[in-house]
Amino acid sequence: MLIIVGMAVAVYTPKGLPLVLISESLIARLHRWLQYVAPAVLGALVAPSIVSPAGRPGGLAWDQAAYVVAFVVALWTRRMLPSLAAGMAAVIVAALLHP
Amino acid sequence: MVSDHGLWPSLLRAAAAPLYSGWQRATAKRADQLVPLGGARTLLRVSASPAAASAPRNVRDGFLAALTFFPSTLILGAIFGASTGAAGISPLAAIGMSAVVWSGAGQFAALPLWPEGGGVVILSALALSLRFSLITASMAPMLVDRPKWLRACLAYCVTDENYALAVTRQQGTLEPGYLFGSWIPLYAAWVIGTALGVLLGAQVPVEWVAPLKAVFPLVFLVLTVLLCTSIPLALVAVLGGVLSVVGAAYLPPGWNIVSAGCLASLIGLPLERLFRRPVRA
Repeated sequence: MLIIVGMAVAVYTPKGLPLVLISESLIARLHRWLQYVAPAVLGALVAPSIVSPAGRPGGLAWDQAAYVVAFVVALWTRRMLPSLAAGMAAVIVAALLHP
Repeated sequence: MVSDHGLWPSLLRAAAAPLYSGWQRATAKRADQLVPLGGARTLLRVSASPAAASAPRNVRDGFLAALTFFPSTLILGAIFGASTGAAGISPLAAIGMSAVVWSGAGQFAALPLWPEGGGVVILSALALSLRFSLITASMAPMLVDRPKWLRACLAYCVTDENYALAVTRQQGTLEPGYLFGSWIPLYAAWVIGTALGVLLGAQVPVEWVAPLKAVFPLVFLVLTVLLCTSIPLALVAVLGGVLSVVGAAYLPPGWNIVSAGCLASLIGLPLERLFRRPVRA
């Protein structure tokens, strides 16, 4: 039980501290840098799972074709739903073709 | 993606109406007290006024947007729940952990480490959560005009998925209601999934899992593309991805994201200057 509480604190602290402590004056200075944190973190989060899909180690990963499809549609339409639909359709096709 | 009609919105509105009025009061009060603030001024104005008018709408939008993640989070929770028995975590502790800790990566990392004792488990959870410091720090400018207690509560609601949804929804604004709304399905799916996994035991069919695993990267990829509205932003995202992949080979899990996020975001401002120069000349 203590371990769970400790884990909860360990997970919450990095989330909470910046949001609560960062003050107005600090924000004004940091703001221009912080707007680049979002794409950097999103890129860092997504890239490893795309490069090495966890589902099928080794062999040809057909899932990766679906990422390419979603990427192209997202660039093209700049809309969430069509891109996701295309990507998921590609995942399903890939799963059927390559079980 | 968000429809104006349907069962969920009305249910949600009815269930949580008392909560919103308090929320609205908190946000509306602060809207008049805004201190002009250099570069962040316009940003704060924009984010403060519409929120007071449409908090329930924001909660509903967030809720519906995050439903995308519900099935895959549920399955992931079930896999976690089913694996806890073998790791020596009691059923009650497993469900309690999901309800309190609410961290996918942190909890999966705890499975092999559980016999090693609390210190290691807690440290690994901390290491895996460090990326949230970057995430919430980047959210802070958009929430700086909100009361502290609200920010403290929102911090608990933040995770990768709803962060990605929230920052791509509208450039430069972030509604507390939206974040809260998108937290509900994610939290519910994780806890329910864990409970299902614990109760049903080991057998989640593998064939279901492989396509569902693609949902997370897929959504993140699309959100990243949508977020990158300028060349510097896109270059920063690509660099973050490259550094993260390289870092994953050498650093403990979690650290690659923190270091890649830090390093890549630092080149944003120099890139911005570089790309602005030809326009001025």
